Formats: sequence, structure tokens, C-alpha cells
Amino acid sequence: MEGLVKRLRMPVVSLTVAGLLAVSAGCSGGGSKSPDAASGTGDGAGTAGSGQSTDSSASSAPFQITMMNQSILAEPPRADDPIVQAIEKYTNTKLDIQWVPGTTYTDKLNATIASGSLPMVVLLQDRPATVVNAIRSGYFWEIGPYLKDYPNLERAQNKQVQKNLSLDGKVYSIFRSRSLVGDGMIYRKDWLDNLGMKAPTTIDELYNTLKAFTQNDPDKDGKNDTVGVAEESSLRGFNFILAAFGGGNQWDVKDGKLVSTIFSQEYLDALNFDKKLYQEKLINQDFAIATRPQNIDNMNKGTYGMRLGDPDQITRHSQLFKIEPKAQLDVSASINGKKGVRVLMDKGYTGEFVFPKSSVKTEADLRKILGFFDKISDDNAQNIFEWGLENVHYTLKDGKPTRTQEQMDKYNSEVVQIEQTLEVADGSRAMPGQIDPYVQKYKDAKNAVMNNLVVNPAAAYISPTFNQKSADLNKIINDARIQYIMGQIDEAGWKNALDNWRKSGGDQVTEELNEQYAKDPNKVQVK
Amino acid sequence: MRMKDRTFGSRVFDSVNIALLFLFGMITLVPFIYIVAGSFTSPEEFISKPFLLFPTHFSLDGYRYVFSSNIMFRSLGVTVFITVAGTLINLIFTSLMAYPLAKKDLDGRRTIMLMVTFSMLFSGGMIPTFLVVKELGLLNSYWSLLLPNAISAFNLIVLKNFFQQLPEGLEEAAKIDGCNDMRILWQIVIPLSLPAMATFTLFYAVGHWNAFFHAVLYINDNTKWPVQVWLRQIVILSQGGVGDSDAFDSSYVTPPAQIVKMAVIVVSTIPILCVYPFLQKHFAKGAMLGSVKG
Repeated sequence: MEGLVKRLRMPVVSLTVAGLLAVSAGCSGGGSKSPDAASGTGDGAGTAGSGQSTDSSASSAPFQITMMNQSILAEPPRADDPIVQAIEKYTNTKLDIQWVPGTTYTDKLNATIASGSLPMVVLLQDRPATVVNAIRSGYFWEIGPYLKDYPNLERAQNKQVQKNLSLDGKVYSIFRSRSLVGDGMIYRKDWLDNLGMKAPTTIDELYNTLKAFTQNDPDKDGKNDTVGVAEESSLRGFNFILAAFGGGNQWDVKDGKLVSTIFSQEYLDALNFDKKLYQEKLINQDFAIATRPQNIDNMNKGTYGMRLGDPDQITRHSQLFKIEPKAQLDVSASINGKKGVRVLMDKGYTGEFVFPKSSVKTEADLRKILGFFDKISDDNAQNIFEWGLENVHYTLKDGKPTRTQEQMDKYNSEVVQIEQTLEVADGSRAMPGQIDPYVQKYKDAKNAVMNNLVVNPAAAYISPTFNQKSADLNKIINDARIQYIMGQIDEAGWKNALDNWRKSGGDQVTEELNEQYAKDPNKVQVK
Repeated sequence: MRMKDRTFGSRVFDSVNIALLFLFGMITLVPFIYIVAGSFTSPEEFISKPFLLFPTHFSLDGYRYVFSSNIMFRSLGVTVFITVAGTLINLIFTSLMAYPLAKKDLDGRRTIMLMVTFSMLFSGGMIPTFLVVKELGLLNSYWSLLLPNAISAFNLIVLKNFFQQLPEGLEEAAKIDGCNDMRILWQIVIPLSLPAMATFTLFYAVGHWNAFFHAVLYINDNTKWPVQVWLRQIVILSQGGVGDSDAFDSSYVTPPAQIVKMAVIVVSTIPILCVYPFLQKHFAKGAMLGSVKG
């Protein structure tokens, strides 16, 4: 038994020794700061001008930031990743990032919270009740009051999203910005050309297009083997249709009160539209059990004329061009519906960073961390994230960055993951350059509807009942939607489902949200 | 007359039986063939055909994707190490605990057995276990994958029952010949329990081979991750399921998700499948342990 204990201790002791060595090495490295400071990388030039010797020596020792982040590729970034190093050098920090595989992030986070050994910067994917409680009980720094001192960061964080992510009106996190447009249609441009049609811009045109895609042999192979639009069990495309019919983003404001959109006439109109598509077989008949990968594969086979959902996904169809070299895709999010062009605003972020007080001990440290995020949100840093390193991941041609295929591959393996996991700005301040035509297409499609977004007026409020019962409540509605579209229930059945939703906690959710809505001084006005 | 009838009847029965079983065996084989075939198919062919068992265009795209970094080889090494070392630890500890518990004259045997059974019904849960591992200083070391599950309560009880079935006279004889308890265990009891040991080797080895969750929880250093962590990540990623992978360029997942998934299944199953035949002859005997009271 003693032997076992000794063997057990071995790794512990060696780890401790290694840790001590690392610390002392770090200290001595910091002490002999001269090489770094002398070489004057030019990054600090802006601030170094006024800085005196004492000041510069204090700032020249890299500030160490420990972080827990989610690895979104099969392989987390290597320790010597050139982009991480570039960011470290640019911000004069030492990043110690613990990469956790995406699939088990929440479990690992819970265990780490319970063990009380959180790093200085923690990524939250969502906010389970434990985290909300931790925030309310003061476990994390409130950063709202400090943000005004960090102009780059403040500019990078969309105000509406920030409000949605605040808790009890206070800001606790820096979120990773994402597009606010999450809906659109991806369609076969070559099929439209074959049929002599234009991209649909109204609900009727959309219907006619889908009908032609299904019935008029758009692929000209003489077989009746095409389907208008692909839908999946989550009804991913429903929000797009709903917005076209004038529906709200989860909650409507009626007579100064929040009401769930599911009660609106527009919601029923959108359901009826889908029902018509189903009855006329313009939609895949197995949509109730179809998954997204299946739909992507079928679109790649040339079965579908259109797929609804995130415009970004247009880049997921490279296989199509191998099977059908003549195929062309296009993307759009602009349907001029009952209330004009409207798209429901997406949440606009993916994950947020919070700062535990247990590891970020002083306000000075918090400011250093905020300074880091401020620095990586400026124009130069956005260039690094969006383009990588010059002559490694891109080359400047006429002042515009371009990429060869080789550089593209290198960018994909070395930069994208860092960009997706670490950048909190949306990259819009990076240099404009030559990008993949399909990426350009979805960016254009999103930009075209940027000013037509419908916000969710209740996004900033928390309903304990909903946190508890969301799975049940959503299931009631999702099941009823699918049954309605497939004709298994009629309008009375849909009304029953709504009643069921209200009785199962929906009324309570509405009440809780309205309570906060009434008290909110900056409540969202919905037109 | 009767004899002939019976042989004819039984011959018919036998052939029908064999045919049916053959058919049944084939049916169970089809999914495996499908997966192996799918993993070797070219993406174009795979997507354009609804179902295939014999690819006409061979391609290693799926495997190329899976093995696109040498991380796969390193983590396979980690997994092999954990499986071998872990199984060894499991067997040693389980038999060391099971043997004394099999002795009826052991003081406090009932209490210990009650505690073991209790742990089967109520486990501490993820967070308390994590705290124990952390306080023992095992975080981020392979020990965290080897020690916390060193003894499975279920296997322990089955092994204890197996030990109890051995004739007591055997051990008495050994004792009279001058053996001490340790020597009786190693030289007499264990060799007689080979079927049981083989079965538990397999049970434990499969468990270690599939080690995934503990590794994610306890190991921060990704160079120490076993292969299942990567494979799972690859599978989820190829379905577009991690984070907002919507925003990724398609060049990440060149072969279609299905092919990658199948290649992953093959890579992760073949090695442990190779162990099966060597343990199989003991397996039936070992798995029936305790089903008949002696």
C-alpha cells in the first residue's frame, strides 16, 4: 500500500516541481525583459511614446491570462500555434488556454465550478441555472461600468445583444459576436435559369418557385425526381416563413404586454403555408424525421431546389459541384412579405466570457484582462483573426489581401479555430479583400437585410419557469406544429395545443417576463 | 423405418436450421459490411447511391481525414497504454479484494459486502468524484483514468462468487503443503479462474478502450487525450454539431459526414474487436458465472 502511495505521489511531485520551475523561469524571463523591450516590436509604439522607463518595464512583462475555452475542431490549437503567439505578442500577454472538447463543455464547466478552481477567463456556452445563481451571488465580476474605458471593445459589442445578455440590467460578460441574420434561403440558381425564373422576392413567388422546382423538371433529366424545399424536424426554415408573414421574434408586444408569437394570426398563416407545401408535396414528405446532415446530403445529390436556414450554410455544399459540375447555388434572405422585408434577429453571439472573482483577484487584473479584449478588438487584431499572418496565410495584392489555395488550407488549420473561439469582435473592421465567392454571397445576403431585423422584446429577461420547463413547453408546440403541417390536427387541434402550452407553464412564463418588462426602463419597442 | 424417418426429419430440420441461422447471421453482418464498405467508398459514389455493400470506387478519403494529423496515432498509443495498464490494475485489485471476501470466516465480510452493494446503487455523482480526483492530485495525469474505477462493484461480486465455488479442499491441501494465502491466490485460485479472468479482462478492457468522459473531465492537457475523445469530436464535427460550426468553411469537412463517421467507427472498433477471438473460448463459461447456484 505504501508503495502505491509513493507511486501516486510521483506524478504529483514531479508536476509540482515542473510547475515551480515554470514559475521561476517565467519570473526570470520577466526580470530580464530587456530583449523584448529593446527589440521594440512596434506594437507598443503607440503607448510607449509617453511611457517612462518604470512604466514600460511594468508593461513589458507579459501578463498571464488563464482561460477555459471550447475546442470546436477535432483538434484543439497547438501550444505553439502561430496565431496565438501573434496575439500574445500583440497584446503583451501570455495566454494559458485550456481547450475543452465542445461536446462535453458544460459537464467540465460544472465540475470546475464546483471544484472552485476556475481560470481567469471562462467561456460560457449558455447559462444554466447554476451559472445564473453564481452570477447573482456575485461569483463573477460585473464589467458594465468599466466598458466605457475600452473603446474598441465597446464598439465591437452590439448594444442590443449586450442588453439581451445582461442579467438584472447588469453586464457580466463579453460575448463573441456573430451575425444577427440567421435565416435565409439557399437555392439552385441553375434550376431557376433552366426554368427561366428569377429568385423569389415575395411569398407568392416563393410558392411558385417551389412548385416549379417540384413539378417542372428543373434539372432537365426528364424524371420527376425533385423536391422544392428541404425542411428538417426542427422546422429550421419556419422562422424565415414566419417573418415573411409578419410574425414576431418569439414574443410580440400587444397593448403594452408581452404575448408569445405562437398565438398570433401570422404564426397560423405561416403554418398554413407550410401545410400547403406539404399537401402539394413541394416539401420533403419525411421532414418530420429528417436531420440537417441528411438534408445537406440530399441537396448535394441534387434532390432539393432550396434549403432554408442559415445563409452561411451555402458553403456546406461543395460536394454538389463534384456530383453536378453545372450546379450553381445562390442565397438570399430578402422576402418582401406582409409587412415588408423582415428577418427575425438571431441571437447575435455564440458563447460569452465571464471573469470569476476567485481567480481575477483585483480590479487592476480585471482591467488588464479587459484591456486584452479591447486590444484584440482593434483593427490590427481583427486583421490577424480574419486574414492570419502576411505571406503565411495571405499575400497583399494591390493593397488587398488574397489567398492561394495553399494559404487557404493553412488559414483553415491554423487560424479559423482561434478566430471562432477567441475573437469577440465580428471581424468587420478587417481589411476588405478577395474572399471565396460563396462566402461573399452569404455576406452580401446578410448585409442586405441588416436593417430589417425583428428583435425579440423579451430576450433580456429570465423566466425561472421557462428555464425549468422549456423542454416540455417547446415540445408541445413543436409536436403540434408538425402535426398541423402534416394535417393530423386542424385549427381546433392547434388551439388545443396552445391551451395546453398555457396550462403547462406558458401562462406563468408570460407573467414572469411581463413583470420584468413592466419594470424595464429601456424596454424594446416592437413595430 | 423409424430410424430412417428420424434421420430424414432431423436432416431436414438441420438444414432448415442451418439455412435460417446462416441467413440470420448474414443479416447481422450486413450493417458491419455496410459500414466498412462505406468507409472505403469515394464520396461521390456514396452520396449518389442509396445503399451499397460493394464499392466500385475505392477511396481512403474518410481515413485520410481521420488521420490527417498525427494526433490520432499518439492518442491511439495513449489508449493502448490506458487499456493495458488499466486492465492490469483492475484485475489485480479486483481479485485481491474478491478473494478474501470469498472466505466465509472473514470478519466484517457482511459489512464490506453491504458497502460494495451500496456503491452499486448510489454513486457519488460526477462532481463529488471530480473533487476526490482533484484533492488526490490526480488531475491531468493518467492515474485519474486508471485508479478511480480500479474495481467495478459488479465484477467484484461476480468474481467473489466464482471464487466461492472453488472446492475448499484444494486450498486446504495447498495450505498443508505450506502455501501462504498470497501464494494460494496467485498459484492456485487465479489459474483455476481463467475463464472468469478472461471475461473480466474483456469487460475492463472494453471499458478502458471506450474511456471518453473521464478523460475529458480529468485531463486538461490535450496531448494526453485518449483516442475516443478525438473520434467523438470528429464525428460531431462532421455533422456540423460543435459550436457554431455553421460559420466554417466547407473545406474543413471535405468527405461527407457519413464517410468520416464510418471510418471513425472502423478505426475505433477494429482493435478491440481483434481481442475478442482470443478471449472468446473463455467467454461463454465466464459470463455464465453465478447464473447457476452450486
